[in-house]
Amino acid sequence: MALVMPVLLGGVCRAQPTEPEVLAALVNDAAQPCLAQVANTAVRLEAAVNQLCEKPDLQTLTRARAAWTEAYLAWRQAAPFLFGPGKKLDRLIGKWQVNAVVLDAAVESPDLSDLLKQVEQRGYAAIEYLLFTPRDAAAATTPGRCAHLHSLTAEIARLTSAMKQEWDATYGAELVAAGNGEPFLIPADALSVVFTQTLNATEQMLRDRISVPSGYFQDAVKPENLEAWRSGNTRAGLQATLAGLRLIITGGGDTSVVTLVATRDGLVEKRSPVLAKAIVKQLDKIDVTLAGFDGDGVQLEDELKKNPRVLKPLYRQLQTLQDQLVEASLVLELDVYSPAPQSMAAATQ
Amino acid sequence: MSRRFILLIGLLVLIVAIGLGGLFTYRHPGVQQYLRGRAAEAVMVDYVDNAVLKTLELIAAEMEALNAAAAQLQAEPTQQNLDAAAQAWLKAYGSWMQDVAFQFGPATQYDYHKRLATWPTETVLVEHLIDEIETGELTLDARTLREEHFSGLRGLYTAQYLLFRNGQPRKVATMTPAERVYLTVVTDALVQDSIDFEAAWRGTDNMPKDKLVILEAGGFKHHLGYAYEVKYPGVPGGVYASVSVTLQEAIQDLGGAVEDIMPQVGELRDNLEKAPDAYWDRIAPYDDLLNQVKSFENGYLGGVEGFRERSISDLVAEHDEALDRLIRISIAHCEYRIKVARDSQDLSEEEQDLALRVVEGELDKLNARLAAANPMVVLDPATRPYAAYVQ
Repeated sequence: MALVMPVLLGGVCRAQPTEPEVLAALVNDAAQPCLAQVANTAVRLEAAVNQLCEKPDLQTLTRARAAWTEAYLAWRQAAPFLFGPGKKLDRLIGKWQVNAVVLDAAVESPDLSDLLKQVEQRGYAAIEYLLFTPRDAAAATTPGRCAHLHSLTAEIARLTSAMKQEWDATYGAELVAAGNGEPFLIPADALSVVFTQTLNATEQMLRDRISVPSGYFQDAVKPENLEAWRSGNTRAGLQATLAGLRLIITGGGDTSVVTLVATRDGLVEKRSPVLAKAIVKQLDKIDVTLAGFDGDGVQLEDELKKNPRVLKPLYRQLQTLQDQLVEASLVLELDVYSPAPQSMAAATQ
Repeated sequence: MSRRFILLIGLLVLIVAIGLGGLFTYRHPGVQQYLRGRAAEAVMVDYVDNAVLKTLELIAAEMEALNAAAAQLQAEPTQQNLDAAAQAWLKAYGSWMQDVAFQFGPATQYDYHKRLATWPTETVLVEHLIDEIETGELTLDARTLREEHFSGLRGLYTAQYLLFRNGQPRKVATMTPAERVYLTVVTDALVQDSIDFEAAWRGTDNMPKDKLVILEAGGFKHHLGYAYEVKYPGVPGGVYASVSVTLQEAIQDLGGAVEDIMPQVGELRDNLEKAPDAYWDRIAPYDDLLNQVKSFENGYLGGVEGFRERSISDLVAEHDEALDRLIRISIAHCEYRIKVARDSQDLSEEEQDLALRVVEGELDKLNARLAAANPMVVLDPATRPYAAYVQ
């Protein structure tokens, strides 16, 4: 009894956060620091690119590449936070892959410069291509390439800074004050927005960053569709997004989303400490799987060619996490709905 | 190897083969479709028996209770009896509100919403009839009222007019004997019409004996019963071509019930600055909203409380369990938020308005989720042929 009671009491006595408390923690401890990192690294990237174009040598190229990597990973970690002021950003600067043929031609030919306005030639992907594809600093800093690099880095710095400012000025406060009707009628509506983007981020990982390059595990693989493969950051990018997911789900300790799942009964749904624990465990499993890809400097794009199903275990684990998050949204009685595949098939017959 | 052993192995193989065969057969898409079709038909049977008919039974019972209270008030005009009649009216009106999700078929065919609840009441003509009763020029009974006078002279709102002033039960001293007589006649007509409503669904031949007596005395026409049409679609010459069409009818009316509630919430918001008893004609507007949501709940969950077996909810869950759960959650949240709004009437106007906006938000979600569920159920190949129209 002396051994059992503390265990039981430990489960029973877990503090129950309120939705406003969870929202406050999400905003103050997760979203704002994350988005600040995105904005700050974007500014540093712009500065590094300016230095590269002013004085192109191996050192400045290496620094620019490092600055890009830092900015990209911050961007990827922020994937679950791209709602509200950030909801349009992914379309503007997050598109992957670039159209390399068009990009190479358009940066060198004034007649094709209009093509540089297309999203396929912009964003983090285009900067990666321009910095990591050339063999040296001279090749990376032709006048045309530098002009486009300036344009891209300035745009990312501007947009991410504006997003951060809107969060700081109004949006963060609106989320924390959810329930006052300006604009969120109840705190659950604000949490629903958070959950929706979290699920969108996992879906993007499953579909765009794993399934497409893997040929949906039945067609020919397309390693060139792996995100950030040119810079060797595919795995790091996935790890960064997972870190962002962990921040949203477990950030805030006792005032986290997962604690809410474990402790709060809704009007219909009951709390689920089992589910809460399973979600945390699943995040850990995915972490281990991702860490396991980095053996002897192996690159995922090479590994994918040799073993087309190399990403399948990761896919399955992420799918399980997504299913758990959907279940969590139901336990919390949020307004998040994604049609089940079989229901979509029936509806379109 | 002994013969017995070989026989045993053979038997084991046979059992496993049969088991596996059964499993594969069960999982066969054709078999699954057949089973879903039978399930949909069973759902509509329960929907009629446990939701529609049970609601109509409740309405008839509450109208009878109201009529009894009116008769008691007529016999003994005390404040206590008037208050009791007012309470009986609230219960009768509440039961009527629980029918909003089933206002198809006989409801529209025989105009029961007019016969039981025409709005507004023709108060001038009502007062004229009361004057004639008072002077002895008119002796009125329920059948005459039903057959020879406009619906605006009877029904639930007329009974409300006679029992309430400014949202509160009247002072019995202000109620004349002629008004009490008229109230008894009006509520008697409500009993007769509500029992006829039930007969229009159940079929006159299937009505209990005590209600048959009332129908015969009231001179009502014989009904074959609409329940059969809804429960057994696809019969040659029938109203509904298939279970898809009956499901479409039922689900559309569920959605219609939600859409009808929303402007009522808007009116509450528009009238916040007025005292509740000055608001429109509703005595207990929040109870009205709750009863209408209850109607939706009964329709979606396949019956009134205590009588829920197979339901539209089961059909939705078969396709998308998460969506079914979301709809159930929505129903609970609508009810909860209406109660919160009701209990916020002592708060500031801004707080009350916010509470009502939340109600609107929850109703919006419920409507959207039902709209997502509609095609899944109605366009399931198992329910073919399909409805002629889908939203």
